[in-house]
Amino acid sequence: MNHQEALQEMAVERYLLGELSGASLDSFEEHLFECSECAMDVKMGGTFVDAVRTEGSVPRTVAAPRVESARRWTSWFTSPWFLAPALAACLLALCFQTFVLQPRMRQELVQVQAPSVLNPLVLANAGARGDSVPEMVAPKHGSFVISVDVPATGGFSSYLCSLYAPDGSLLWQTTVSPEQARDALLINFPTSKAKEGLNIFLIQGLPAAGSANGTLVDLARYRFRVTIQK
Amino acid sequence: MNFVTFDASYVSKLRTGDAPTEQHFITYFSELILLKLRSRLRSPELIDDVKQETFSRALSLIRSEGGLRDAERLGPLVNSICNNVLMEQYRSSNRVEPLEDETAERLVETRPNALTTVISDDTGKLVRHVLNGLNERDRTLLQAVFLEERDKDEVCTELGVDRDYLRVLLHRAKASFRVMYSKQVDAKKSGWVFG
Repeated sequence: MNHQEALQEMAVERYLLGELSGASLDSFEEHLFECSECAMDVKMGGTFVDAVRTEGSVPRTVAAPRVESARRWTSWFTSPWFLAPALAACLLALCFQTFVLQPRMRQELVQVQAPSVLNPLVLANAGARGDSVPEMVAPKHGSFVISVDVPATGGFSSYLCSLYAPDGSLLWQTTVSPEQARDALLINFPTSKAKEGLNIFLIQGLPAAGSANGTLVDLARYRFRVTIQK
Repeated sequence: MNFVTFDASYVSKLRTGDAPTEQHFITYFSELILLKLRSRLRSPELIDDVKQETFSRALSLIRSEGGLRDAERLGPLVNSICNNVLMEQYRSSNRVEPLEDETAERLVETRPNALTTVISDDTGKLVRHVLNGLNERDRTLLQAVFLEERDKDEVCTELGVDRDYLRVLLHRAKASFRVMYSKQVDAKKSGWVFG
């Protein structure tokens, strides 16, 4: 075999593909060892083929495993076993909100916005002597009004009004100026902040600056019972 | 690309034991002998034995009186000696089948060999570049033949091509690889000289 024949017969490619055998193999190899051009071609082809094998057997450096693992993790959320109960739960919550919560809130809003007659619980002198305890029946959703007189005692710069729950905890507190204290105080109190039972309304006077004693002085202590309407 | 001409001067240097020439001789024919033997012998140790014996006998013959008359026949001489050593290897292994009866296709060495192990990262990049430049079918064809070592006729039939197409595809891919490889080698050489 000469070089021209080798080219025509694509002997190098056949050799690399293992297609030559017998006499044709011997003939080409004899030529291969004397033809530097074919030798170079075969060497280059051999390197290419080996590199294809090596490249193919070596895992690519792309982040395929990470993608695979991420897909496996997120696939848990998209599996029917998770999606079906999740959708059912969402539907249930939507129904509860639409048919129970919203009508109730709407009703409460209407009640709050509607004009109504308030019967304040008048605490002036009530329970001061401890002989009777007035009772306030408070609406469940809404508020109640307390009317209280601040004892007309001079010499205080302001008055501290505090409401204590039956367990003794402070429910509410505010400061009243002497001007406000001239008339009866009307305090609107939300039922949600109140506690059922015997409550105590305490009025204390804060002595004016320059007085000898700066501590609060108890002026009145009113007791009243709160009952929340069922 | 260095194309070698084996002339009287070259053979004369081999006779006198010129070290660079002897080194070139061994390097040049080692690759060819490896490519030749890996389709016939499975054991890397046997391949190495046959190669060493071939070089030993070739150099002895060249240095003997009247050993090599025609310098241009140096390559065929090495090939002929290699065939003889290989035949002896077969005989010593009690193989009764002559070399000619074993088709190369049946005996192709598929495991990583000496050539595979010396493939550099740069060469790998070039091959990836060549493979990425091919269309999906051609890439699949080459990988099925060389990587998966599937039956060539079967793969060609599956992909709707014939064996000629496979040869031409290999020819084109090899040519692309050769061009890029040469450029890389030239770039490295210039970088080494001037860098």
